[in-house]
Amino acid sequence: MNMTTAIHTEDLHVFFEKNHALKGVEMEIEKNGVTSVIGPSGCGKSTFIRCINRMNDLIPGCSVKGKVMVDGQDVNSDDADVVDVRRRIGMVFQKPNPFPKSIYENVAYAPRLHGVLEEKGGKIRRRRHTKQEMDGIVEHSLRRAALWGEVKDRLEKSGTSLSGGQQQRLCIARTLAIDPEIILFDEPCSALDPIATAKIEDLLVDLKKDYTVVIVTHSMQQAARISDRTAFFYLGELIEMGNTKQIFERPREELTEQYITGRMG
Amino acid sequence: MDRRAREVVYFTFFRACALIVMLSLVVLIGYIATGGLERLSLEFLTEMPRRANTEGGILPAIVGTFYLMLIVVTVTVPIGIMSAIYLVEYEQSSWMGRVFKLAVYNLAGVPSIVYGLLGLGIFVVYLGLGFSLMSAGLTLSIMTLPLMISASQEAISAVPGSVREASMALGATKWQTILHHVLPYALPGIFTGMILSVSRAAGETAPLMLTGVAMSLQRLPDGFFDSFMALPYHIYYMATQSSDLIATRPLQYAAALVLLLLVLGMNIIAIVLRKRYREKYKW
Repeated sequence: MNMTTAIHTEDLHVFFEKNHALKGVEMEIEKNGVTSVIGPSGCGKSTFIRCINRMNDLIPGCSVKGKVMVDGQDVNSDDADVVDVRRRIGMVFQKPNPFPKSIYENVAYAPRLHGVLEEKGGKIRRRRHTKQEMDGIVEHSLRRAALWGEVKDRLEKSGTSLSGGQQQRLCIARTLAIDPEIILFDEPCSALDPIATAKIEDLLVDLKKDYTVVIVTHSMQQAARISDRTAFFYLGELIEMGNTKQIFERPREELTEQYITGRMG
Repeated sequence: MDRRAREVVYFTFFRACALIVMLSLVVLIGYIATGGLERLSLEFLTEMPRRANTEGGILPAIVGTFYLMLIVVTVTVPIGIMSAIYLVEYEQSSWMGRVFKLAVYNLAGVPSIVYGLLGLGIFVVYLGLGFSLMSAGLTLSIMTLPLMISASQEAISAVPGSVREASMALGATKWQTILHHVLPYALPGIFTGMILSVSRAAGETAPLMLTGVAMSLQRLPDGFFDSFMALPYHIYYMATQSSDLIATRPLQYAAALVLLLLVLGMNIIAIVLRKRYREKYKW
């Protein structure tokens, strides 16, 4: 198989207080591909992708042990700069969560936060974006998220005034605005209708040209439709991972087959 | 009684309860307005009291109450908001946080006269601020702090966690998330808390009696360390200790009306501000 690894986890464990939620996960996620993470509720799939951008840090009583290597750097180590990790690894959540600000401000928020890094006289300095640069980023991100045409005339309207599917694409645009390397999707379509879901799925497939996409989904059809590789979790363990076709047609593990065929979960 | 009739009875009962509240307000304002409107005049608002408050205006009392509110706003609002941020954002589920919250609830239940004694002991005597606007203002600030904290806490907790997650996932720090998202979205609720606190402080009498309020002054307070008059105490004094209770009755009504209008006016400002912010951030 010919692939470059974007994310590589080693012996990854997660504990919520005493509860052992993730048990020694070893996984390689390929660059510029869509990787699906499937499994029954409570199997640790969301917990797993939240390790990749350190979102589990926000949960009191949660501890993550093990390595999460991204670009040769362990993002789970204590010296990793969490802000930098989250800038490089974006995340889109289950329920669309735009800020109750204008569409423009939603997209401009993260770039404004991080500024522009420039080298000047051998020193790296941070400066604000010019209005023009920011307009460019907002337009580009909205275009990339296939939302520009629908909102270009009402950028000053509140992000929460959009429909659910549009809100979710706005959240994707908001993440794209800081040009991450990896984008994590945590069941991004579970709150959407089928048409909005189809649009997001098309977008995800399109995004893999430029980004590494990891998606947690409870829909096996969705995993089969859009992903190159699929990982199956059960009770906090990675049971099987492989090409999506292989997982769905010739699963190696008994548990995977039971889940795929609907006899479990 | 059939089901539909019972629905009607319950509905009527609930509506009656709500009407009692409405009615109390209308009666209160009407009663005070009819008694006080005749004496309410520009002179009444802008003149010094004369002959032991039986003649002249109530300017020093208005100014005194205004200064007290000013002190309360500057002290209570920032401390209240910051404590609420600390409690909600940093100590939500910790042992420390629970102890702090318990302390806040208990402080809210302490009678105001006890705060007055505290103010007398700490500000007037121990810190040597004397019987002054500052002592009274700080006492009122401490007294209203629990109210401010609870209201802010509620407003901050009401900001959905998903917004915090969204912000942090974009690489914002916790502080940036609070500053850019949590606080702005919580502002309407915080405004409410602020107005409740200040209104409560404006109407409080007991703590003032122990910390420096004067019965009658023919001058405005000379800075924050001078003694002062205040509307609620003025009303209390006129209604119970005045040399001619009957003859000064219209004056008492008028003073009560001024206090009422002051508090209502502030409530209206709060409602306007709150509405504006609600419209700014639509969920």
